[in-house]
Amino acid sequence: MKKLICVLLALCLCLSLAFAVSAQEGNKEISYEQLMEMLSQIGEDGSISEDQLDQIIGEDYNADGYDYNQIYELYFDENDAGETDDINAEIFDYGQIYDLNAKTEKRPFNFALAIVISLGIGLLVALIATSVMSSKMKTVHAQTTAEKYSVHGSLNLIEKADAFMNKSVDRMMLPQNMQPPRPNGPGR
Amino acid sequence: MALQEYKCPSCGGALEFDSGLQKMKCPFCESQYEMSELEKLDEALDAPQGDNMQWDTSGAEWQEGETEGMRVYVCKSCGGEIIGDQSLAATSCPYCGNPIVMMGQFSGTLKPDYIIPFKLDKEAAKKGLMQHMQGKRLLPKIFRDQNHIDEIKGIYVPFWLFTAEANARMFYKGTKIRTWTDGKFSYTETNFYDIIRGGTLGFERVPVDGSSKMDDTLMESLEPYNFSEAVDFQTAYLAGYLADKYDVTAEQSIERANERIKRTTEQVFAQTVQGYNAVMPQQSMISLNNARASYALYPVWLLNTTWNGQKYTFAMNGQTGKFVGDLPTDKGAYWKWFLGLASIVGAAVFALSYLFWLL
Repeated sequence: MKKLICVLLALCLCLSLAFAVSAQEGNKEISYEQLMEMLSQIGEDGSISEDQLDQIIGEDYNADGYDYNQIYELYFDENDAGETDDINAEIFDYGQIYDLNAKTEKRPFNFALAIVISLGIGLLVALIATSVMSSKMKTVHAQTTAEKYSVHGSLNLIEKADAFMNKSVDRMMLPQNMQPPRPNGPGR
Repeated sequence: MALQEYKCPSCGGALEFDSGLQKMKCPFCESQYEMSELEKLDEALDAPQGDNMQWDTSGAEWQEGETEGMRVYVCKSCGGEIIGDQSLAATSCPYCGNPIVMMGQFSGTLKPDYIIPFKLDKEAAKKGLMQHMQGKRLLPKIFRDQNHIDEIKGIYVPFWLFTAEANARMFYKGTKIRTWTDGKFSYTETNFYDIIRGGTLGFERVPVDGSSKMDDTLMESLEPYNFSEAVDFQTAYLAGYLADKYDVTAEQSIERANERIKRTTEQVFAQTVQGYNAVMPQQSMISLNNARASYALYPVWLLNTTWNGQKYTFAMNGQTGKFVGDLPTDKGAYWKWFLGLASIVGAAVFALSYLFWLL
């Protein structure tokens, strides 16, 4: 009974930790409906304003220093002519390589989440350790098997039959349609 | 004719009637007494004299059948009377301490087939208890410090030993699962099988406690005994120890032995069913070949101690030294450890996570 309670407590603890982590990560997740709503903001001709794009991706899309309009025009116009190698070389000439010698802004330390997770791990470890200590106090246990008294090598398997009876096949469609369509490109 | 003298209750002097006062008066201490008071004194003096220290020694009568379970033995060394129950087979005289064996308890069909002699003495049992308490962080400190053993007894406990060959036929349902994809769909094929396993498995000397006075769970906790050191029974081995003859018959013990044999047989045969994703046991049919029971005495040290009004019984295997017995748990210590560990580990994890963030 005590072991069951311990397992349930541990389970609750893990669930609470999972909730805490998912709450932290929750801002990054976009549901399918939200995505569709965002994509509906794109014009019929496939164009989207910079403000709209910033809203969709949640940050300034042009913050890395690249001019995506120029890159897009260069890529699609010249790609039609089959000059992809030159294009790739040219793309890197635009803007500055943003992550070279650049210091990314460090996210602030989430004290509340860290305390919750640390406390959860501490409680879990304490629960396991005290459960082990408690189990050492009980040494009187009934024997449920006679394993110690089975004669070694005395198993004589006379009958061994595995008869196939029937089978069932379940088919499930792979979630291909769920994949979002590739965007045509920013600023067009 | 008896003489009556009124004595002053205060000083013991002879009282006189004072006609002026119409009272009795003591000429020595001047105390005065009403006549009515002296009447009471007269009545008290007229009452039967002497001590009355009577005892009711009639006692309760033995009820019919109440003495059937008792046996009275006479010590051949000192002549003292020893009263025991009908299963008592060996003890020591409470008057002279001489070891006594009740020979009649092991005669005829009651004679044990085997005995495993004691290999460990009383000192080893005491030491075993101390070692048993070591490393138990939740044991109340006061239990360890103030612990005194009320009683240590070396007892030969009767066991029934069951030997048989289990003939088993097991039925299972098994499933094998295969999955694949073809780009558009994922397929899961589940194949169902009927599985049969049959054969034999041998068991030797599965012990079942044959004494109703011994806790079965405690006795099972002491297993296993090394039967290779068992010898043919001789009463001389019992000298200096307590011993009981069985009061649970072999027939009464069969059920317990069968439970254990059945479970092990099922486990062993289940292990022969391999290559399946899931196996569900359906039915098991087990019969026993060459099933026989033998009677043996196994050595056990019993230690009793009392703490907080509760009795704690510990037992040690008199052959291997395996020590068992549940210990009390200090709830205060439990929560101290729990909260202490949670705080330390939690603080360490927090500090590490902050350190990683700084790096």
